[in-house]
Formats: sequence, structure tokens, C-alpha cells
Amino acid sequence: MSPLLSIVTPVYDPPRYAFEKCIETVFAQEYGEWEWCLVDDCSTAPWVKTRLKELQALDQRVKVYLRSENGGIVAASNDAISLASGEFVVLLDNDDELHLDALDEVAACINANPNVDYIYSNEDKITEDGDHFGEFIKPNWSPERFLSQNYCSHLSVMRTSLVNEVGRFRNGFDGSQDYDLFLRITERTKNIVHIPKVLYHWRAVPGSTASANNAKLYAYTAAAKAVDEHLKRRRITAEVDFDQTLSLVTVKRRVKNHPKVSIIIPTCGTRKSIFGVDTCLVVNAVESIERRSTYTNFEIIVVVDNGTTQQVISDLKAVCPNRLKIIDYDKPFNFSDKCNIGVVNSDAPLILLLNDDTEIISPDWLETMVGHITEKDVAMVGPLLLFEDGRIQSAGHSNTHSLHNFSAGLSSNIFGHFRMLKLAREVSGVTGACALIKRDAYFEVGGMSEIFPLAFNDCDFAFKLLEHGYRIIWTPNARLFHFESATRPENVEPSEVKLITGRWGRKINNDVYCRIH
Amino acid sequence: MDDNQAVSADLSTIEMQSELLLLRNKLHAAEEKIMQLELALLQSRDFSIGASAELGEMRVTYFALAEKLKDANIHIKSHLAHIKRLEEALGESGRASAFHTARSAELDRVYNSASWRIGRFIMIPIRILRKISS
Repeated sequence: MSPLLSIVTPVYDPPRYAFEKCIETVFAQEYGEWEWCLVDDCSTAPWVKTRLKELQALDQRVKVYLRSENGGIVAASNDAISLASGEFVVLLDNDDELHLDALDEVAACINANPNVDYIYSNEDKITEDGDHFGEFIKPNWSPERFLSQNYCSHLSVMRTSLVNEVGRFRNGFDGSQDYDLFLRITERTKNIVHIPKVLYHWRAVPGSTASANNAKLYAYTAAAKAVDEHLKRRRITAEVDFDQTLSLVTVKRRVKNHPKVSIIIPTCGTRKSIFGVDTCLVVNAVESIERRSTYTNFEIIVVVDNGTTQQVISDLKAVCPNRLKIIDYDKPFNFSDKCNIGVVNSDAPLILLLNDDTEIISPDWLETMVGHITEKDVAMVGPLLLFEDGRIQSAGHSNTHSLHNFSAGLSSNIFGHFRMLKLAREVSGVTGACALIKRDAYFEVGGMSEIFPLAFNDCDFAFKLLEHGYRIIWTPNARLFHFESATRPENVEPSEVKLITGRWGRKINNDVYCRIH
Repeated sequence: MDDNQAVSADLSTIEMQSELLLLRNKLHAAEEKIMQLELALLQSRDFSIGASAELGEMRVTYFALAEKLKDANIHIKSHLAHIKRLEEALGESGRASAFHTARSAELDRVYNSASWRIGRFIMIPIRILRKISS
């Protein structure tokens, strides 16, 4: 099968050298079944029309339409789509470059996934001198991340019939018209495939979006508008804004009904010095929940080991007199078993597993996490956990190279690869130190596995959820301290490694949401 | 005033309270049982999902090994073909060697024959003349 790919390029006064490079890369494609739909949006430079006519004469695969008046990027792009007769449209800007294998890879992807509607690839940037930089290593389809940034961007290939069905590009979204189109496309289909190769080189010329994130502020305003309308169409109530510092759209979901959350804390009443003060961890955790949380519909279930002193129990009752349940645990330490016992003793539709060595930072931590979990296919949500000194303890899990807490030990001020530490996104897992889970999903996958009493129980649980088709979200907008390793040994037993590899070896070092270490 | 009625009412309340206590105990026991069953359910589901995952992992390993075996077989076949070619070449070389030995023996026999020696003796003056003239 050799699908016809229609390259769509609106042209408006491009730098001549860049346009020539663009032409070069199209004609140098390994794959031959393409047509190039070029629309000149009434360029002021006379050479543009001449060059386009030359191209048309040179190759019958080139289709050219010269607009009689300047209509802007949306009108020109839509005119270019009108020229397309291919099964798929490939978006290419007039000053950018395609990788020589780009169309070949796209065709191979279509052949491997005949039902695919939308394909996107990794991309990098290219200077005026042709130097490549800033490779964007993208995740597989991540709808939550897509709400904060148009990470799919280039190269984007869409089924032509679907583009026409959703009404092509829309006026009023100039600068983010592609983002608006992708949002509407992804509302209609789940057949979205990521090609993890750089197939597009985005030219960073002065003033372009590629060269500076704040070069086109109007584009971000349009992006926020596109996301806002997208959420409205999906009937998700949220406050949508644009963060100029981060160049990200911010989405804050409004929680309806405020479902009850059962916060389950396994503990043995350990004490540790926190911020220089000798503290009973579980009492500190419960007190911080009670004192700082703005969400009110929750209960706290503390699963206590036999050795826990009566003083700890009394202190817990003192800091949380009204919604505390104490469950005794008289078996050898098993984190998973303690969590499971806590869950069967709860009745809320949402369960929050919480380590006793944590402390709430964000007052709206529960609202933020509950907001994410209300989506149908989201089963688990995790927050940003910080060490006592403010460095990152966990920004979700990563399976690249090995199972680990992503970005552990890094400053919480850094943005991460393409700002991934500053936006809510799909992850392959979150730490069991703090995880909000749907009760139904918890039961569906058999809860925490007791064969992992110490380590990897959260990784195993996450893999089970992913295997059942659920999404797991990590958000930086809910923050907690995690005074890690005060309550359990740090060492991982080789037998535990063998167990997790025996179950999920194929998923380790194959993280589709985080391909960077 | 009917004292008997009041007494029976008191008795009834005590009975009801006792009944209530009994029911509460039963309810508590039932709740305990439900929790035990829920835990067992979690364990069973985890076991089944875990076993299925392990099976998947084994399948992946099996397919990887099968691929390796396939490659190894191709490799072995190519080696065997190479060995066969070498053996054929060796046989050919043996035959050539035997032919060469036979020819050498025949030459030796010719050189050692009386007629060859006589001929050689007769030719001596001619060889000397040729040497002088050159």
C-alpha cells in the first residue's frame, strides 16, 4: 500500500533561503507518492509567485493556488487543504524542513496502523545556518499533557476526511490554529500514533515561535481559547489560563459533587527529626491534612502496627477527632497488605494511599487530584513530592533504563524537558507514597500485590492499571513533602527485582510517556 | 393504674435492646466477613492478573528465544553448507594430489628409462654447441 500524502503549505513571504531548503527536502523524499499543495497568501515579494509557478511546471505533483488577497494563515491553509486529493494531509510550514525519510516513515506507519487518523512525530529546531538543536522527545498520545501544550505540533499528519469533517482550520485562532484543529481532531478519534523519530526540522528564525517562546504571545492567547472551547465541548468545567512564564496553558478543573476520599495511611508510629524538630510522622501527616486541606469530604484511615504506642493513637485522635478510623494490623510488615486492609475498611469511591512520612504543602491538593480522576479512563493520580530540602523526590515514575522516581534529587524550580515538570501529564506510574485511586479500579486490578511487601508494589499496581487501559496522571499542581525512607528500608531485595521483572519485564525500559532518563 | 402493663413494656424494651445487640454483633461479624471476602477477592484478582502478566512475559521470552533459535539454525545450516563445501574441496584436492603423484611417478619412470638416458647422452655434443653459439 502506498497512500497518497498531500503536503499542505501556506506560503507568505518566507525567507528565500529557507523556502529553497524546504523545497529541497520535499523533492528529496525517499517516498514518492506525494502531492504538494502550495497556496500563496498574496506574498509581497514578487519572487514567490514566480518560484511557485516554476515548481508547478517542474513537477506535476505540485499544485499551486495564488490567492488574490491576503487572507491570513487560516484561509491560506484551508485553501491548501481544498487542493489536497490524498488520503492524508501533512502539514509543512514554508520555512521548515522535512527529514528525508519523513514521508517514508509516515507511509510505513499508515500501513502498520490502517485505522490511524492522526500521526505525529518527534521534531527538532534548525538554525539559519542549518544547525540542529532542541530535539523534542515526545511521549505517546497524552491527552492530559496536550491540554497544557501543543506537544504534537510538527510533524502532524491527519486523515483528510476527518480534517474536512471537523471543519478544517478555524478563524479566531491565528497562531494556534493547528492546536485548535488537533484538539478537534482528537475529540473524534483515539487512533493516534506517535512516531518516536525526528521527522521535522522547525526553522528558528528571529521572531518565529521556534526561536523564542514569547515571540508570539497572541498565539498563546489563542491556545488558551482553543483549550477552553475544547473542554467546554467535552463538558469539563475548568478555569483555563495561559502562564506566560512557562509558556503553558493552565487548566484547573472545578470539582463537582466533591466525592468522598478515604485517605489510608499505614504506619508504625515512627518518629523522625523534621525541620529540626523530633516529630511523630503519622501525627504530623494527619495534622497537616486536617489543617491545610481545603477539600472537606474525606475520612482518614490509619492502619497501625501492633507496636504503635497508645500515645500516638491518642495524639491522632486529638488532631483529627471527627473523621479518623484506626485499624489494627498484627501481621509482619507488608505495605501492600496494610493498604488493602485499609481499603476494605473504607467506603469512599476514591482512595488515597498516603505514606505517614508526608506533609501537605498545597491546600488544594485534593481538589487538584480529584479534578483529574473524574475523567472516565483516569484511574490514578499522583502529586509532586518534595524532599525536606525542597528538591524533587518524585515527579511520577519513569521506566526508562530502570524503574525510578522521575527527576528525583533535582531542584523543584527546573522546568524539565520541554517543561514536563511544570505540567500535568500521563505517566507510567506514580509513587504509592501518595496516590489517589478510583475504588472500582483498585478492586478491578486486585489492589496492591502482597507479593511485593516493600518495594515495587506501586510499580506493579500501575502496570496493572495500564494493562487494563487506564490512564495515570501526575500533576505538579498538588505538592507534598515526602520525608522519604524514614519508615522503611531503602534496599531493594534481588528477589523483588526478579518478581517485578518476571511480571513486567517487557514494560521496563519501554516507557511510552517518558523516553528520557 | 395498671402496673402490669408498665412492667411488660420495660421487659419488651430490654428484649429489644438485647435483640438489637445481637443484631449489631451479627452485623459486625457480617461486615468482618465481607472485608475478609473483599481481601480474598483482591488477592485472587491480583494472582490472576499477575499470572497472566507472567505468562505474557514468558511468551515474550519464548518468542525471543524462538527467534534466536531460528537465527542459530540459519547460522548452523550456513556452517554445515560451508563444511560440505570444504569437504568437497578437500576431496577435489585429494584427487588432484593422487593425479599429481601418479604423473610424477610416470615422469620418474621416463627419466630413469634406458632410452631417455641414451637419448640424453647422444644429445650432449649438440647441447655444448648450442651453449657456445649463444
